[in-house]
Amino acid sequence: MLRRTVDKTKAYYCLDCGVCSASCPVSRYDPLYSPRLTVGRALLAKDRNVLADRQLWSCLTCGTCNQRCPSKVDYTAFVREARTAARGLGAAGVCAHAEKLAAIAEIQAMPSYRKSRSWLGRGVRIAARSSTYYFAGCLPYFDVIFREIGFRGNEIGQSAVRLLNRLGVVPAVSEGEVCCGHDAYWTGLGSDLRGLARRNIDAIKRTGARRVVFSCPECYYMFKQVYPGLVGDIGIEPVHILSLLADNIKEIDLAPQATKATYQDACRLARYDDVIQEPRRILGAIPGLELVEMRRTGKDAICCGSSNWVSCSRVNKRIQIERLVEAQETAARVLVTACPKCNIHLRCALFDEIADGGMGIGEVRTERGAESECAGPKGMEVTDLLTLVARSLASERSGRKPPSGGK
Amino acid sequence: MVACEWHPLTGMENAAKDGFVYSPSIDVLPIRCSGTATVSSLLTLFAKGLGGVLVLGCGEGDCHYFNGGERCRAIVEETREILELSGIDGTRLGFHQVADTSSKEFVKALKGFLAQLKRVESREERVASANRR
Repeated sequence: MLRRTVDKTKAYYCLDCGVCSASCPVSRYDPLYSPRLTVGRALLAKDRNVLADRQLWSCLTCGTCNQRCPSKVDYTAFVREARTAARGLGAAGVCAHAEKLAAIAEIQAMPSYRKSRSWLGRGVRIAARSSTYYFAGCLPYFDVIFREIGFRGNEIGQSAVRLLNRLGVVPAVSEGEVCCGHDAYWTGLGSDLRGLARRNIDAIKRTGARRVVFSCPECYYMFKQVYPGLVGDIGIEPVHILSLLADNIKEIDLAPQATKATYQDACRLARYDDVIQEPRRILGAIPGLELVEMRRTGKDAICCGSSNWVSCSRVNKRIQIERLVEAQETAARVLVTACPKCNIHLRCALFDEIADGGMGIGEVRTERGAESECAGPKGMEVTDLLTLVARSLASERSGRKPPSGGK
Repeated sequence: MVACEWHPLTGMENAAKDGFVYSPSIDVLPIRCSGTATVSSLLTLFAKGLGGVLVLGCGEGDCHYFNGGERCRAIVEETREILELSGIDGTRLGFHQVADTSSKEFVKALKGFLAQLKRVESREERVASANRR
């Protein structure tokens, strides 16, 4: 069963050097988890060993191992394919948050499913037809589920559209959009995704869009790197909003924000793609904002510690706390992230630390259960990049040329 | 219908003894306490194509597990929000805390929910036929 996976991912080139295990954040806190050992077992044709192992679901798919492997073994692809085979044996990861996310995916698979656009709120402009489409992804759902830890998914989406509007783009947003399928893809359900990909592409094309803008790195990754393999040329250009913003940031009047910030690179942006300088250029354009880097950044950034909702154990918490402490060491007041997942996972760890009176690295500003603000002892908080930039938007200047249905 | 086995199911049995009959298209899922219903299990019922789900629990102060009704209310609220985001009317998910084990309470809860469902369906049908024209 694993023979084909080994061939496809070139795992037979493994030198047994152990750089993967040494780089792996999971291995760091769980000595029983070892990428090297997993590959070793597969090469010895101990398929059942690998497929039945609960640890197959421990991989964060962060890609640090892929990047450093001297033989360029695609370990995360290996894990993904092994998970598909493991599902055939009845194994699966445990979906955190009482399987809510899995249930939401089931709802979206209904033929009658219609995605509400209520998250847009007021103050943003969208069009029924436009050459640009904005893909919101699961932000509205996350807004509901993670409200109690202060995650504001709708505000991220609204900020994205406001920023697009400010660039003269009036995007289309459709009710026909469904989940991008990223988490299903990485947890062994990749063979079912053709229909989902086509459904999304059709919904987008019906608006006349030739370009899709994403705020979520994972949705962006799916359209750019996975959908073509599933359905061929998708006929629309996937763009991450950070690239668009960075190229045009000088066009936007940004009010000063005097604060010290550090930036968390998302795995899907920094390692699975090369969107590294763009967020920094954007943050650099905000007057008064001082950007300080954590010790490990860019392609060496540490994963936010959870992946695809199947990694939520004490090991993941340790990874998250380690990263939060690293952020605090920069004396930054704001830990900026451009990934909703990084935002949720780091925020959740910060919240747990506060609630359990753990390492004392955080304090809650308001009551738990209401919309809470989580802040470190020096006031460090986790903030989305787009939300942060949107705060600097001066009010609309009169005399600005009105956009005509999108660029 | 997702009914806890204390007041609601007892009420249902009493109603049956009194000759109350409900449509065979209504499935009853007994659970130990309404507070054990989860967002994902309720969502999955809708994902399977059910037009409506009624959760029945006991009142505050009656719960044998202390705060099941309170938990269930929060779960139902969250589930309704998610349903609304998905183009499904949130009132298709009903939650009623029956006051006692009488057949009257049970029948009242069920009939009330079915009437609500009917209102939703008529409204959606009106909107759909208006769109067709």
